Amino acid sequence: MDEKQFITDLQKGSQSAFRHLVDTFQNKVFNTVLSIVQNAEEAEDVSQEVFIEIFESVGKFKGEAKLSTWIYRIATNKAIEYHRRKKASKRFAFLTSLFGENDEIVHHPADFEHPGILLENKERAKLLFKHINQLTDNQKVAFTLCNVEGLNYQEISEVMQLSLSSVESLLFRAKTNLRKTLKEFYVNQII
Amino acid sequence: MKNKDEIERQIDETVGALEGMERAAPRSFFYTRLEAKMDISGMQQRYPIIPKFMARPTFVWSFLALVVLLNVGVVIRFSQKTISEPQNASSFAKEYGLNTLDSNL
Repeated sequence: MDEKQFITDLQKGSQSAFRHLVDTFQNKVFNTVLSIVQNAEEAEDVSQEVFIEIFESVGKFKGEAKLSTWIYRIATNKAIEYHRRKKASKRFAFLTSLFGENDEIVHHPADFEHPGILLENKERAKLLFKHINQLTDNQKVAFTLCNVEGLNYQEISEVMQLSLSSVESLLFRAKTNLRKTLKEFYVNQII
Repeated sequence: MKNKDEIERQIDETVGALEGMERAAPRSFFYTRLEAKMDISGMQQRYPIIPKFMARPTFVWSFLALVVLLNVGVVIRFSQKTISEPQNASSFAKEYGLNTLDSNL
């Protein structure tokens, strides 16, 4: 189906067009959100919010960017917004932890295990995701879009609305920071 | 030196751990759950529990401040009244004939 026609159908409120959109993009949205939020249940909630936002604001979509770019932008924004809220609530963890041991588990979740990782890489990927979580929001988004979703620099720059050189710099800093924190981890482990 | 090489090797392998990964998919019937959620949020928009202006922080805080002020006002007023009118208890007893009851006992 022609993308313009498809967008027009979506803007008219066509249920079948919206269903087609969800079927086409649900894995991409979920995978991106999951890699940022690092919890499957929360990722599903955020993914649902992404599609609700798409449904509500598709009327404002003017086709300046590709539909997939626009969807990735909403997904990363929602995921980062959720991640920030979660971080803020962790700051008050000492208050909620007063209510018992179960609450402590919520604030100190087990290491995230991405379901799509190859079996032999599971342990290393767990460690990597833990260190990705320490990156700044922009570095995290750029790294996720590049290494998890496989987008190229041009696509990332369109999603993040940044220049190509900014994306290159973000990815360079993300990799440098990851190597730095991983080095600290391995040095401590060997000593 | 050997340790340094080993650390570099470990870092390279960890950074490359995402290679060959597959895309994660949500649980089955994602669209059905999404539809249900959209129905609920749509219902809430059509029939809001409280009017929109009432949910605004300015309104909420002003309302709370008013309630607190009213409470403080009532407490001050009644505490002054009790102090300034000590004869109230005796007049109350007299009105309800409590003195008579005492004398009967």
